[in-house]
Amino acid sequence: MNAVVRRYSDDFEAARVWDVRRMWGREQNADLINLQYSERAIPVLVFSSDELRIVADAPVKVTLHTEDGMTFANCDRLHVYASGESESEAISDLHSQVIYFYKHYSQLSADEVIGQAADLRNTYLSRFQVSP
Amino acid sequence: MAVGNDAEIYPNSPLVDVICEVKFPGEMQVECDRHTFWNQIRDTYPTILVPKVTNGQAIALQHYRLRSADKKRTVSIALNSLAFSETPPYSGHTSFLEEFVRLAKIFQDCYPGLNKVNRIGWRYINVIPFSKGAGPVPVSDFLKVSVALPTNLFESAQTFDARFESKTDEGTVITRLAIIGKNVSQTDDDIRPAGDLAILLDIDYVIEKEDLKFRHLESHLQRARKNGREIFEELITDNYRKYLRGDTL
Repeated sequence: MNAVVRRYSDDFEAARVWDVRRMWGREQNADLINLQYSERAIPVLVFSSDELRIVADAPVKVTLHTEDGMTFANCDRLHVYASGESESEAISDLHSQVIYFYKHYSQLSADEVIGQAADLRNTYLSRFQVSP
Repeated sequence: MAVGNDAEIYPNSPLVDVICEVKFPGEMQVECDRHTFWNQIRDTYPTILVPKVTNGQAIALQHYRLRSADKKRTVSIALNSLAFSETPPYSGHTSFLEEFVRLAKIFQDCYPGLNKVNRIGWRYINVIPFSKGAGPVPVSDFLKVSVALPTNLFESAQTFDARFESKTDEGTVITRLAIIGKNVSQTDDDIRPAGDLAILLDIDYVIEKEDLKFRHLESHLQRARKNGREIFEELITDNYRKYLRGDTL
Protein backbone atom coordinates (compact mmCIF):
# COMPACT_ATOMS: atom_id res chain seq x y z
CA MET A 1 0.00 0.00 0.00
CA ASN A 2 1.05 3.57 -0.34
CA ALA A 3 3.02 4.34 2.75
CA VAL A 4 1.15 7.45 3.72
CA VAL A 5 1.88 8.59 7.22
CA ARG A 6 0.97 11.55 9.27
CA ARG A 7 3.61 13.92 10.47
CA TYR A 8 3.65 12.98 14.11
CA SER A 9 3.97 15.55 16.83
CA ASP A 10 6.67 14.93 19.38
CA ASP A 11 5.65 13.37 22.62
CA PHE A 12 3.97 15.85 24.91
CA GLU A 13 3.66 18.39 22.16
CA ALA A 14 0.19 19.84 22.15
CA ALA A 15 -2.26 17.54 20.52
CA ARG A 16 -4.17 18.42 17.42
CA VAL A 17 -7.81 18.41 18.33
CA TRP A 18 -10.41 16.86 16.14
CA ASP A 19 -14.07 16.86 16.75
CA VAL A 20 -15.98 14.26 14.83
CA ARG A 21 -19.04 16.48 14.78
CA ARG A 22 -17.49 19.47 13.11
CA MET A 23 -15.62 18.14 10.18
CA TRP A 24 -14.40 21.48 8.95
CA GLY A 25 -13.02 22.54 12.29
CA ARG A 26 -11.51 19.23 13.23
CA GLU A 27 -8.75 18.99 10.71
CA GLN A 28 -7.48 21.95 8.88
CA ASN A 29 -6.63 21.36 5.25
CA ALA A 30 -3.04 22.03 6.30
CA ASP A 31 -3.11 18.83 8.37
CA LEU A 32 -4.22 16.81 5.40
CA ILE A 33 -1.87 18.60 3.06
CA ASN A 34 0.97 17.59 5.33
CA LEU A 35 0.44 13.94 4.55
CA GLN A 36 3.81 12.57 3.66
CA TYR A 37 4.35 9.97 1.02
CA SER A 38 7.37 7.72 1.24
CA GLU A 39 6.23 6.14 -2.00
CA ARG A 40 3.54 7.65 -4.13
CA ALA A 41 1.84 5.24 -6.48
CA ILE A 42 -0.99 5.99 -8.84
CA PRO A 43 -3.11 3.82 -11.11
CA VAL A 44 -3.18 4.73 -14.79
CA LEU A 45 -5.61 3.07 -17.18
CA VAL A 46 -5.39 5.07 -20.38
CA PHE A 47 -2.22 6.04 -22.25
CA SER A 48 -2.43 8.51 -25.06
CA SER A 49 -0.29 10.49 -27.43
CA ASP A 50 -1.20 12.68 -30.38
CA GLU A 51 -1.45 9.62 -32.62
CA LEU A 52 -2.69 6.78 -30.44
CA ARG A 53 -4.78 6.04 -27.38
CA ILE A 54 -4.57 2.65 -25.66
CA VAL A 55 -6.45 1.30 -22.68
CA ALA A 56 -5.18 -1.37 -20.27
CA ASP A 57 -7.49 -4.13 -19.01
CA ALA A 58 -6.27 -3.51 -15.45
CA PRO A 59 -4.84 -0.40 -13.84
CA VAL A 60 -1.12 0.12 -14.44
CA LYS A 61 0.62 0.85 -11.16
CA VAL A 62 2.97 3.78 -11.63
CA THR A 63 5.31 4.78 -8.83
CA LEU A 64 6.42 8.38 -8.59
CA HIS A 65 9.32 9.87 -6.72
CA THR A 66 11.38 13.03 -6.87
CA GLU A 67 15.13 13.20 -6.62
CA ASP A 68 17.50 16.09 -7.27
CA GLY A 69 14.72 18.18 -8.74
CA MET A 70 13.68 15.50 -11.23
CA THR A 71 10.49 13.48 -11.04
CA PHE A 72 10.57 9.81 -12.01
CA ALA A 73 7.53 7.78 -13.07
CA ASN A 74 8.18 4.06 -13.26
CA CYS A 75 6.33 0.86 -14.01
CA ASP A 76 8.51 -2.19 -13.44
CA ARG A 77 6.00 -4.61 -14.96
CA LEU A 78 6.09 -2.77 -18.28
CA HIS A 79 9.78 -1.94 -17.97
CA VAL A 80 9.06 1.74 -18.40
CA TYR A 81 11.17 4.33 -16.59
CA ALA A 82 10.21 7.92 -17.35
CA SER A 83 11.39 11.24 -16.02
CA GLY A 84 10.73 14.94 -16.24
CA GLU A 85 11.30 18.23 -14.50
CA SER A 86 7.77 18.07 -13.11
CA GLU A 87 5.28 15.33 -12.37
CA SER A 88 3.21 16.15 -15.44
CA GLU A 89 6.34 16.00 -17.63
CA ALA A 90 7.29 12.62 -16.17
CA ILE A 91 3.77 11.28 -16.70
CA SER A 92 3.76 12.63 -20.25
CA ASP A 93 7.09 10.86 -20.88
CA LEU A 94 5.64 7.67 -19.41
CA HIS A 95 2.66 7.85 -21.77
CA SER A 96 5.00 8.31 -24.74
CA GLN A 97 7.14 5.34 -23.73
CA VAL A 98 4.20 3.00 -23.20
CA ILE A 99 2.77 4.00 -26.58
CA TYR A 100 6.20 3.54 -28.15
CA PHE A 101 6.60 0.02 -26.72
CA TYR A 102 3.05 -0.92 -27.67
CA LYS A 103 3.72 0.08 -31.28
CA HIS A 104 7.15 -1.56 -31.21
CA TYR A 105 5.87 -4.93 -29.97
CA SER A 106 2.85 -4.75 -32.29
CA GLN A 107 5.23 -4.77 -35.22
CA LEU A 108 7.14 -7.84 -34.03
CA SER A 109 5.91 -11.36 -34.59
CA ALA A 110 6.13 -13.97 -31.82
CA ASP A 111 9.11 -15.73 -33.39
CA GLU A 112 11.14 -12.52 -33.45
CA VAL A 113 11.30 -12.21 -29.66
CA ILE A 114 12.60 -14.42 -26.90
CA GLY A 115 12.84 -14.36 -23.12
CA GLN A 116 11.85 -11.11 -21.43
CA ALA A 117 11.04 -9.47 -24.74
CA ALA A 118 8.55 -12.24 -25.46
CA ASP A 119 6.92 -11.69 -22.07
CA LEU A 120 6.72 -7.97 -22.67
CA ARG A 121 5.29 -8.43 -26.14
CA ASN A 122 2.66 -10.72 -24.69
CA THR A 123 1.80 -8.22 -21.96
CA TYR A 124 1.53 -5.25 -24.31
CA LEU A 125 -0.50 -7.10 -26.92
CA SER A 126 -2.82 -9.03 -24.63
CA ARG A 127 -3.45 -6.43 -21.92
CA PHE A 128 -3.82 -3.26 -24.00
CA GLN A 129 -6.34 -2.32 -26.63
CA VAL A 130 -6.48 0.61 -28.98
CA SER A 131 -9.30 2.90 -28.00
CA PRO A 132 -10.95 5.53 -30.17
CA MET B 1 -17.01 -7.05 -10.64
CA ALA B 2 -17.81 -8.22 -7.14
CA VAL B 3 -18.01 -5.42 -4.64
CA GLY B 4 -15.48 -5.96 -1.89
CA ASN B 5 -16.93 -7.73 1.13
CA ASP B 6 -16.87 -5.58 4.19
CA ALA B 7 -14.06 -7.54 5.82
CA GLU B 8 -11.69 -7.41 2.86
CA ILE B 9 -8.44 -5.57 3.54
CA TYR B 10 -7.06 -4.10 0.35
CA PRO B 11 -3.29 -4.28 -0.12
CA ASN B 12 -3.34 -0.89 -1.88
CA SER B 13 -5.81 0.64 0.55
CA PRO B 14 -6.10 4.44 0.45
CA LEU B 15 -6.99 4.63 4.15
CA VAL B 16 -4.90 7.13 6.10
CA ASP B 17 -6.97 7.22 9.26
CA VAL B 18 -9.74 5.22 10.88
CA ILE B 19 -11.48 6.90 13.79
CA CYS B 20 -14.43 6.01 15.93
CA GLU B 21 -15.88 8.17 18.61
CA VAL B 22 -18.53 7.81 21.28
CA LYS B 23 -20.04 10.94 22.76
CA PHE B 24 -21.95 10.97 26.00
CA PRO B 25 -23.46 13.58 28.33
CA GLY B 26 -20.60 15.44 30.02
CA GLU B 27 -19.27 13.47 32.98
CA MET B 28 -17.17 15.44 35.47
CA GLN B 29 -15.42 12.33 36.73
CA VAL B 30 -13.82 11.76 33.32
CA GLU B 31 -12.34 15.24 33.50
CA CYS B 32 -11.22 14.97 37.12
CA ASP B 33 -10.00 11.38 37.23
CA ARG B 34 -8.30 10.87 33.89
CA HIS B 35 -5.57 8.96 35.63
CA THR B 36 -8.04 6.24 36.68
CA PHE B 37 -8.58 5.26 33.07
CA TRP B 38 -4.99 5.78 32.03
CA ASN B 39 -3.71 3.59 34.84
CA GLN B 40 -5.73 0.73 33.37
CA ILE B 41 -4.31 1.10 29.87
CA ARG B 42 -0.92 2.77 30.33
CA ASP B 43 0.97 -0.42 29.51
CA THR B 44 -0.47 -0.32 25.99
CA TYR B 45 -0.82 3.45 25.64
CA PRO B 46 2.17 4.90 27.49
CA THR B 47 2.40 8.30 25.80
CA ILE B 48 0.26 11.26 26.82
CA LEU B 49 -0.40 14.05 24.33
CA VAL B 50 -2.01 17.05 25.96
CA PRO B 51 -4.21 19.64 24.26
CA LYS B 52 -2.95 23.15 23.81
CA VAL B 53 -5.15 26.09 24.73
CA THR B 54 -7.07 27.03 21.63
CA ASN B 55 -8.74 30.38 21.39
CA GLY B 56 -12.47 30.07 21.99
CA GLN B 57 -12.43 26.34 22.76
CA ALA B 58 -13.25 24.90 26.15
CA ILE B 59 -10.30 22.93 27.50
CA ALA B 60 -12.56 20.25 28.97
CA LEU B 61 -13.94 19.47 25.53
CA GLN B 62 -10.52 19.01 24.00
CA HIS B 63 -9.09 15.52 23.99
CA TYR B 64 -6.22 14.18 26.01
CA ARG B 65 -4.66 11.64 23.71
CA LEU B 66 -3.04 8.42 24.88
CA ARG B 67 -0.83 6.86 22.26
CA SER B 68 0.60 3.39 21.84
CA ALA B 69 4.37 2.95 21.85
CA ASP B 70 4.42 2.27 18.10
CA LYS B 71 2.34 5.47 17.53
CA LYS B 72 -0.21 3.57 15.47
CA ARG B 73 -3.15 3.65 17.85
CA THR B 74 -4.49 6.55 19.86
CA VAL B 75 -7.16 6.71 22.53
CA SER B 76 -8.65 10.17 23.10
CA ILE B 77 -10.69 11.24 26.08
CA ALA B 78 -12.55 14.42 26.97
CA LEU B 79 -15.37 15.44 29.29
CA ASN B 80 -17.98 14.09 26.87
CA SER B 81 -16.07 11.87 24.48
CA LEU B 82 -14.09 8.67 24.03
CA ALA B 83 -12.43 8.12 20.68
CA PHE B 84 -10.03 5.64 19.12
CA SER B 85 -8.00 5.94 15.95
CA GLU B 86 -5.43 4.02 13.95
CA THR B 87 -3.04 5.07 11.24
CA PRO B 88 -1.92 2.75 8.42
CA PRO B 89 -1.32 -0.01 7.85
CA TYR B 90 -4.85 -0.61 9.15
CA SER B 91 -5.07 -3.83 11.15
CA GLY B 92 -8.61 -4.46 9.95
CA HIS B 93 -11.94 -3.75 11.57
CA THR B 94 -12.08 -6.94 13.66
CA SER B 95 -8.98 -6.11 15.65
CA PHE B 96 -9.79 -2.37 15.70
CA LEU B 97 -13.30 -2.92 16.99
CA GLU B 98 -12.20 -5.53 19.51
CA GLU B 99 -9.72 -3.07 20.98
CA PHE B 100 -12.19 -0.20 21.10
CA VAL B 101 -14.83 -2.34 22.80
CA ARG B 102 -12.21 -3.44 25.34
CA LEU B 103 -11.26 0.19 25.99
CA ALA B 104 -14.89 1.26 26.26
CA LYS B 105 -15.55 -1.46 28.82
CA ILE B 106 -12.59 -0.33 30.93
CA PHE B 107 -13.74 3.28 30.49
CA GLN B 108 -17.22 2.48 31.72
CA ASP B 109 -15.87 0.49 34.66
CA CYS B 110 -13.74 3.49 35.63
CA TYR B 111 -16.67 5.90 35.37
CA PRO B 112 -19.78 3.97 36.45
CA GLY B 113 -21.95 7.07 36.12
CA LEU B 114 -21.78 6.66 32.33
CA ASN B 115 -24.72 4.94 30.79
CA LYS B 116 -26.30 6.96 28.03
CA VAL B 117 -24.59 7.64 24.72
CA ASN B 118 -25.48 10.64 22.55
CA ARG B 119 -23.66 9.83 19.41
CA ILE B 120 -21.56 7.10 17.80
CA GLY B 121 -19.41 7.85 14.78
CA TRP B 122 -17.18 5.77 12.55
CA ARG B 123 -14.96 7.63 10.14
CA TYR B 124 -12.81 6.46 7.25
CA ILE B 125 -10.40 9.00 5.79
CA ASN B 126 -9.09 7.96 2.38
CA VAL B 127 -6.43 9.72 0.35
CA ILE B 128 -6.36 8.67 -3.30
CA PRO B 129 -3.22 9.87 -5.11
CA PHE B 130 -3.52 10.73 -8.78
CA SER B 131 -1.69 12.60 -11.47
CA LYS B 132 -3.74 14.80 -13.71
CA GLY B 133 -1.05 16.18 -15.99
CA ALA B 134 -2.40 19.30 -17.63
CA GLY B 135 -5.97 17.98 -17.71
CA PRO B 136 -8.84 18.03 -15.26
CA VAL B 137 -8.99 15.90 -12.12
CA PRO B 138 -9.70 12.31 -13.30
CA VAL B 139 -12.38 11.68 -10.69
CA SER B 140 -14.25 9.15 -12.84
CA ASP B 141 -11.17 6.88 -12.91
CA PHE B 142 -11.59 6.38 -9.18
CA LEU B 143 -15.06 7.32 -8.04
CA LYS B 144 -18.59 7.00 -9.30
CA VAL B 145 -19.38 10.58 -8.47
CA SER B 146 -21.14 12.98 -10.72
CA VAL B 147 -22.28 16.51 -10.12
CA ALA B 148 -24.72 17.79 -12.68
CA LEU B 149 -23.32 21.15 -13.60
CA PRO B 150 -23.77 22.91 -16.93
CA THR B 151 -21.15 22.59 -19.69
CA ASN B 152 -19.20 19.82 -17.90
CA LEU B 153 -18.05 22.14 -15.16
CA PHE B 154 -17.55 19.22 -12.79
CA GLU B 155 -15.79 16.95 -15.31
CA SER B 156 -13.36 19.72 -16.23
CA ALA B 157 -12.68 20.83 -12.65
CA GLN B 158 -9.06 21.55 -11.77
CA THR B 159 -9.82 21.38 -8.06
CA PHE B 160 -12.85 21.21 -5.76
CA ASP B 161 -13.85 20.89 -2.14
CA ALA B 162 -17.32 19.61 -1.30
CA ARG B 163 -18.99 18.46 1.87
CA PHE B 164 -22.29 16.59 2.00
CA GLU B 165 -24.23 16.14 5.21
CA SER B 166 -26.95 13.59 4.59
CA LYS B 167 -29.73 12.37 6.87
CA THR B 168 -30.17 8.65 7.46
CA ASP B 169 -32.77 6.72 9.45
CA GLU B 170 -30.59 6.78 12.52
CA GLY B 171 -28.36 9.80 12.15
CA THR B 172 -26.16 11.51 9.63
CA VAL B 173 -23.46 10.74 7.08
CA ILE B 174 -20.91 13.45 6.46
CA THR B 175 -18.94 12.95 3.29
CA ARG B 176 -16.17 15.24 2.18
CA LEU B 177 -14.74 15.08 -1.29
CA ALA B 178 -11.85 17.39 -2.04
CA ILE B 179 -8.59 17.74 -3.88
CA ILE B 180 -5.64 18.05 -1.56
CA GLY B 181 -1.94 18.40 -2.24
CA LYS B 182 1.35 18.35 -0.42
CA ASN B 183 1.83 22.00 -1.18
CA VAL B 184 -0.34 24.98 -1.88
CA SER B 185 0.09 27.24 -4.86
CA GLN B 186 -0.99 30.76 -4.21
CA THR B 187 -1.60 33.61 -6.57
CA ASP B 188 -3.09 37.01 -5.82
CA ASP B 189 -6.66 35.80 -5.95
CA ASP B 190 -6.39 32.05 -5.75
CA ILE B 191 -5.16 29.35 -3.40
CA ARG B 192 -5.14 25.78 -4.65
CA PRO B 193 -3.47 22.50 -3.78
CA ALA B 194 -0.32 21.65 -5.72
CA GLY B 195 2.20 18.82 -5.82
CA ASP B 196 1.43 15.18 -4.98
CA LEU B 197 -2.23 15.73 -5.61
CA ALA B 198 -4.79 13.40 -4.14
CA ILE B 199 -8.54 13.04 -3.83
CA LEU B 200 -9.68 13.17 -0.23
CA LEU B 201 -12.64 10.90 0.44
CA ASP B 202 -13.71 11.30 4.03
CA ILE B 203 -16.74 9.30 5.17
CA ASP B 204 -18.12 9.85 8.64
CA TYR B 205 -21.10 7.65 9.50
CA VAL B 206 -22.92 8.85 12.59
CA ILE B 207 -25.63 7.22 14.69
CA GLU B 208 -27.56 9.67 16.83
CA LYS B 209 -30.59 8.35 18.63
CA GLU B 210 -32.30 8.92 21.94
CA ASP B 211 -31.96 5.43 23.33
CA LEU B 212 -28.27 4.66 22.71
CA LYS B 213 -26.66 2.82 25.60
CA PHE B 214 -23.05 2.13 26.45
CA ARG B 215 -23.79 -1.55 26.89
CA HIS B 216 -24.95 -1.85 23.27
CA LEU B 217 -21.91 -0.09 21.93
CA GLU B 218 -20.48 -2.98 19.95
CA SER B 219 -23.56 -3.57 17.81
CA HIS B 220 -23.92 0.17 17.10
CA LEU B 221 -20.28 0.42 16.11
CA GLN B 222 -20.57 -2.62 13.86
CA ARG B 223 -23.51 -0.99 12.10
CA ALA B 224 -21.80 2.37 11.69
CA ARG B 225 -18.68 0.69 10.32
CA LYS B 226 -20.57 -1.55 7.94
CA ASN B 227 -22.61 1.35 6.56
CA GLY B 228 -19.52 3.56 6.17
CA ARG B 229 -17.72 0.77 4.33
CA GLU B 230 -20.71 0.20 2.07
CA ILE B 231 -20.68 3.85 1.08
CA PHE B 232 -17.00 3.55 0.17
CA GLU B 233 -17.59 0.37 -1.85
CA GLU B 234 -20.49 1.96 -3.69
CA LEU B 235 -18.44 5.04 -4.48
CA ILE B 236 -15.35 3.45 -6.02
CA THR B 237 -15.13 2.28 -9.62
CA ASP B 238 -14.47 -1.35 -10.55
CA ASN B 239 -11.11 -0.44 -12.03
CA TYR B 240 -10.04 1.35 -8.88
CA ARG B 241 -11.15 -1.69 -6.84
CA LYS B 242 -8.87 -3.81 -9.05
CA TYR B 243 -6.02 -1.47 -8.18
CA LEU B 244 -6.84 -1.64 -4.45
CA ARG B 245 -6.78 -5.44 -4.65
CA GLY B 246 -3.37 -5.37 -6.27
CA ASP B 247 -4.74 -6.56 -9.60
CA THR B 248 -2.45 -4.29 -11.58
CA LEU B 249 -0.02 -4.32 -14.44
